[in-house]
Amino acid sequence: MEIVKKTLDRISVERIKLELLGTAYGNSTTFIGRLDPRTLLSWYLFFAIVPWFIHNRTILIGMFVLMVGMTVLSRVSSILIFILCLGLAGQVGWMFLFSMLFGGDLTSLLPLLTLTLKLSVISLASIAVFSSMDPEKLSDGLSALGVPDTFSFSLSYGYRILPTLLEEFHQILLSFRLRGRSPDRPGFLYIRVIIYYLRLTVLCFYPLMLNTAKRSRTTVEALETRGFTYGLNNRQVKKMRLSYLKLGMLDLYFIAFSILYIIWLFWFGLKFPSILY
Amino acid sequence: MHEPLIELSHVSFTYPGSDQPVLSDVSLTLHRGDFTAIIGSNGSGKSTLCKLFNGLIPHYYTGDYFGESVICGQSSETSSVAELSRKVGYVYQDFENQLVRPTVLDDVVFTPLNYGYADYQARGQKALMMMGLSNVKDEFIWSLSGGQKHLLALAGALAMDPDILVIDEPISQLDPQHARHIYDILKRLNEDYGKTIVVIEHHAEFIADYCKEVVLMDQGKVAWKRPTREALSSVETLLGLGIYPPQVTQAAWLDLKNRESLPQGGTLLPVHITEGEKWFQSRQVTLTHGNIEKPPVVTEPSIQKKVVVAEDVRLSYRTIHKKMHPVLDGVNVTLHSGEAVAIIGNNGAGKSSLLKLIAGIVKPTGGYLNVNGFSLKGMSPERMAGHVSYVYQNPEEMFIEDSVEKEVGYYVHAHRLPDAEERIQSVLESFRLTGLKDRDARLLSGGQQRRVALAIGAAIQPSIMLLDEPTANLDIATKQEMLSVLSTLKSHVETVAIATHDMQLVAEWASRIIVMHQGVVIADGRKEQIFEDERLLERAGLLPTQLMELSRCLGLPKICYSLDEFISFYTPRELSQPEGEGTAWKSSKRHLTASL
Amino acid sequence: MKTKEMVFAALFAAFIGVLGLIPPIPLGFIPVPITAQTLGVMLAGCFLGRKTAGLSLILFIVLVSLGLPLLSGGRGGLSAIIGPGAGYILSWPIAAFCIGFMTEKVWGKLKTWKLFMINFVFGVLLVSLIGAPVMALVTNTSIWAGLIGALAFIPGDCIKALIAAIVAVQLKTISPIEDKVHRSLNTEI
Ligand SMILES: Nc1ncnc2c1ncn2[C@@H]1O[C@H](COP(=O)(O)OP(=O)(O)OP(=O)(O)O)[C@@H](O)[C@H]1O
Ligand SMILES: Nc1ncnc2c1ncn2[C@@H]1O[C@H](COP(=O)(O)OP(=O)(O)OP(=O)(O)O)[C@@H](O)[C@H]1O
Ligand SMILES: [Mg+2]
Ligand SMILES: [Mg+2]
Repeated sequence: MEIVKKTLDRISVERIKLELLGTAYGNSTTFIGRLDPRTLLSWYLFFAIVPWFIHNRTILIGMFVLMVGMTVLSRVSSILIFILCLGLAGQVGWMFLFSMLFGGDLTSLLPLLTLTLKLSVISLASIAVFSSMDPEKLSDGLSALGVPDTFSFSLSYGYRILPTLLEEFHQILLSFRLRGRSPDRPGFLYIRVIIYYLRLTVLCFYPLMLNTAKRSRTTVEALETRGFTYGLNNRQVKKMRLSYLKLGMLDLYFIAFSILYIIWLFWFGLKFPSILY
Repeated sequence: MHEPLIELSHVSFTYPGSDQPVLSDVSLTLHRGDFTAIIGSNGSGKSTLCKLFNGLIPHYYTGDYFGESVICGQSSETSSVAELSRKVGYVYQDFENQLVRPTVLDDVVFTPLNYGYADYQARGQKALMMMGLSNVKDEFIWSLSGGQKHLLALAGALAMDPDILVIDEPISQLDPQHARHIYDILKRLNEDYGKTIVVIEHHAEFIADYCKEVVLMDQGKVAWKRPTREALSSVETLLGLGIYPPQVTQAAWLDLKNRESLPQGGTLLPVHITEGEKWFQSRQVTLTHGNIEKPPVVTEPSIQKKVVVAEDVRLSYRTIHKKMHPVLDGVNVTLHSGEAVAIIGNNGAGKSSLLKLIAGIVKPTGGYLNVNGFSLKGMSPERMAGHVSYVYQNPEEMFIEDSVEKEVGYYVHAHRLPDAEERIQSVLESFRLTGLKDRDARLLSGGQQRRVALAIGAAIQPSIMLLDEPTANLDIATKQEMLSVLSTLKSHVETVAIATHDMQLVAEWASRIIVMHQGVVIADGRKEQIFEDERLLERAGLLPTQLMELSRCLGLPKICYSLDEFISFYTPRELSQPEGEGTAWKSSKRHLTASL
Repeated sequence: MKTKEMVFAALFAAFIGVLGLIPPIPLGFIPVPITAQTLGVMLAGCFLGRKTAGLSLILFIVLVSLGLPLLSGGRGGLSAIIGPGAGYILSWPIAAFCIGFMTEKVWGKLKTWKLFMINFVFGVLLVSLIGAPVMALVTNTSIWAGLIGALAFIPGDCIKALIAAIVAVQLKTISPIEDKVHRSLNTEI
């Protein structure tokens, strides 16, 4: 129980919040962070779709290597990577277990590996790209690419408000605890403690909902008094808002490099279709 | 007379789900170039009135609305909020909600950008410079202190350069020097640029120094609109509503009353220091042994119980760039039982952070901290409850229930205290919340919310009570009430520490003052030691109260901290009281009863 | 009122994300942990009404696929969505929409048991009916096995359906649905 407590202390809400904030806002100074969001979004679009249709394992491995490079360059938070690996491993392991249970054998592992490769490429691409863009840049990029403003706004607002809501949840939980009383005795197998925390968590929903409702109203009001809808329906304003987006030399190099790499990869992959397995 | 900009005629408004109208039959006209203060007690409808000015009512509050409001020549019913907001800048009472972008610069350019001003960057930069925020322009909103957020909200409104600027309690979270600075800016905007300015204000000193007219609200009605001096001289009316005129005015009024020549309606009393100086210069100073004696020496701290011991306490916030941002840099303080401690200092000095540390809400990154004999390490929040309670700077952070009564009762019920019902009712009673007990605290007025937060803290009856800006947004009568409630809690509460910018509160209440600056304690002592050190005041963003200033100007044998002290110099000997021990709170109560 | 719907949808997407960050609670007697996330789906439906609720779940899915670790247990990224749980996750917007639709229908005479039934039918059964077969498909097992496996979720889900119903009824007065109903009544008169 001590150890559990210790680790729980370490992965505090505060840390998760910072991690999220860091993902959202922390990487704007990296190389990838300085790219234009449109470049990044189109780049991502390519790597989110194409791998699905590729069965050539060499090409997939090559893409994977590129993604690892990108991830390193964009200094993605280690926790996110860890979570991703955990998710992938868990998923593959689980599927493997399932197919073994229902009459599969070891040979079914290979296609699974390929699937994992695809998923990793796509996931790494998404993480590398999106943790290099803050919500504002993301929404501006989307809007510049023609996604409806309302949708891109909602997306970035949801992204941005997440740490705040998490903080609020934490705050509410803290208030409950500061004014509440924990069970005197832990009970059998800490059952009382567990029930206490379960109850608190459920109790937190209600004020959290109330706060969310209130926040939505005040936000709408604030947006309104600050001319948000006025700007939303105005082409001139949109142009001005997006005027800072410029495709620079950096973008050019980046795109050129990516294209060259992919062309080389396809050529190489078609020549040696199974380089590792 | 200039052209009218805001014309309300017979406006009534009721919030949805309530049967009492919040505004009833309000008619009011404000003209171009006005600098108007709106005053009134908590819950009298001031903020609601201002929501009419940019069309939030009737567009965003679906209550019952009657009457007509014309803003800049447009009927607010036919024009949208966005349209009106272009001409009317509005800073909310709960300004934190107004910040909608992640970084300071981003937020301040948001409005001009939305309205398509090509020079939005320049506008934003200029507004930041005016507010003294240029050095934090790349900071994230969530790492600003309460006061900095307030300045930012103001900058956001200024960046639009609107015709009308409506500010709901512009200085409630600011240190005194910043407060002056803000009003100086408003004054310049008004005089040099012809802007129309409307403020809701509880601090009469500022009204006296800056505003041209005063509108008094009382229970949803506009009682009157008068030029400032005339308005503030209506001492009886104001006191009757729990609004305190400037200290100079109160002093002059008391003076007249002592001489039994009670002011007739229409007598103009002094409102500025200079006027006060003139008023009292001609009067003879009475010296009794009561008023020249130094205040009794406080008992030696060494024999009192130590309730909080902080040695070299450090606190850093982790930033998103994985760096540590030091906020407290080696704080040494010891608080004893029976002390009334005021923690003061400029915005961002680290006051709230220190209180949160003591309350166990944030953990120190270094140093030794002992509260009530416990080291805070590894103490669960549940166990802290009976020892310390912290009342947040932003009351909304404390609300976890859907009614005021449940909110106050949560602790009492959770701990199954014996006289639960009685206790809850008495706390509700003493904070005048009985009438509001079934309301959702989130939907109350700013001052009412503050009262609820205080009531929550009081119901816990901890041995150490930490209050963060408890008097912001409160009208002055409620403030006095709060102090009296605190003193009735004395039997349980051993120590009260208040972080505040309210120098009158400090002067009247505190037995010990701790001055913070940039994360360290730069002074610690009694008020005489603090307020007589001008260099210190300058450095820590503080200003003396009007009364202190006045007694200095008049050359009284000592600096007066309360009206009683002051007026005892001007009371004929036979009338003066044998002991000058009456606290300001009692004397204020006396004015109240006298005037009712 | 466009802005309002947008803000509500975005806030709820974030809200569901926060619920996902609450550590899943392992239960001894069934093999799957109780997570708070589906609770969020049901709450969104009951509280926001069909359109906003559907939108908010779509936003949520987009946010997850961008790589944010918002699925319960801190999973995120496209890989988490396109895995065996794909059916479950992709059925959420539909479920939220349906719950919202039905809630709007019974809004006039709102009762906890009605909301519970709605939550159960759309938030539990519908989600399982879409989720389990997809899982079976992805993992190459028989659909029946998948459906039977899904039974394990049902007790936990029922508790959540009940909690969501109770909370939603309590929040009736501040719900945007109420606002909508109120306004449509006013304009009719
Ligand atoms: N959103 C709301 N819904 C319902 N009632 C409200 C709402 N906001 C304010 N009220 C009520 O309306 C009355 C007037 O509130 P208002 O905020 O205008 O007061 P105020 O004069 O600004 O007070 P304060 O000095 O405390 O800020 C109060 O009784 C308050 O409880
Ligand atoms: N959560 C946080 N993360 C990072 N920095 C913070 C955080 N909270 C406060 N700070 C920083 O710590 C410093 C001290 O803040 P604090 O709130 O303690 O000041 P304060 O003295 O209470 O000011 P005010 O009078 O304006 O409320 C400020 O510079 C602020 O920017
Ligand atoms: Mg107000
Ligand atoms: Mg503070």
